[in-house]
Amino acid sequence: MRQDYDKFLAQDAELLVVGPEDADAFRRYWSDHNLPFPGLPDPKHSVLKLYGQQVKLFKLGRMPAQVIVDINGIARYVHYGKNMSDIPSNEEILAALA
Amino acid sequence: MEEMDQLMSNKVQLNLPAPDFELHDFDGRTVRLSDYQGKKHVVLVFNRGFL
Repeated sequence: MRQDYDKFLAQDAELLVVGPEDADAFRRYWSDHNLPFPGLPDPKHSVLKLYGQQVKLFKLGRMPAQVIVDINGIARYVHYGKNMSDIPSNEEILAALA
Repeated sequence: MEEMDQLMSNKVQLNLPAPDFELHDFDGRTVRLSDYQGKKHVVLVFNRGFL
């Protein structure tokens, strides 16, 4: 994600990462990995529930999900992972932004 | 599979407005999806957990 961040910026897109971890965990991870995009802790799962990520369904962990919201606030691309490795490539996401 | 149906019913619909939300980044800054409207597209990534 980090290497392709410039490509997202070139398409006038911001990358927002939301996760159930708390602010401290996010801060440490962002600092360890030197990530340039915003990280949004959601320990209450409020946005995760709002967007329907399947939080408790599998014990191994949550399924990943990506949503592209265009400049008018409309959802244009939605991907819910069926398993842990079901994540679209950055190329797919960039293609959807173009 | 009722739980699945309930979760699926919160799925985001394509070509309809994405639900607005408000969260704080880990520095305490308020971030709203609607902040970006008219300015940028947003790629929202719901992480599978990095810990």
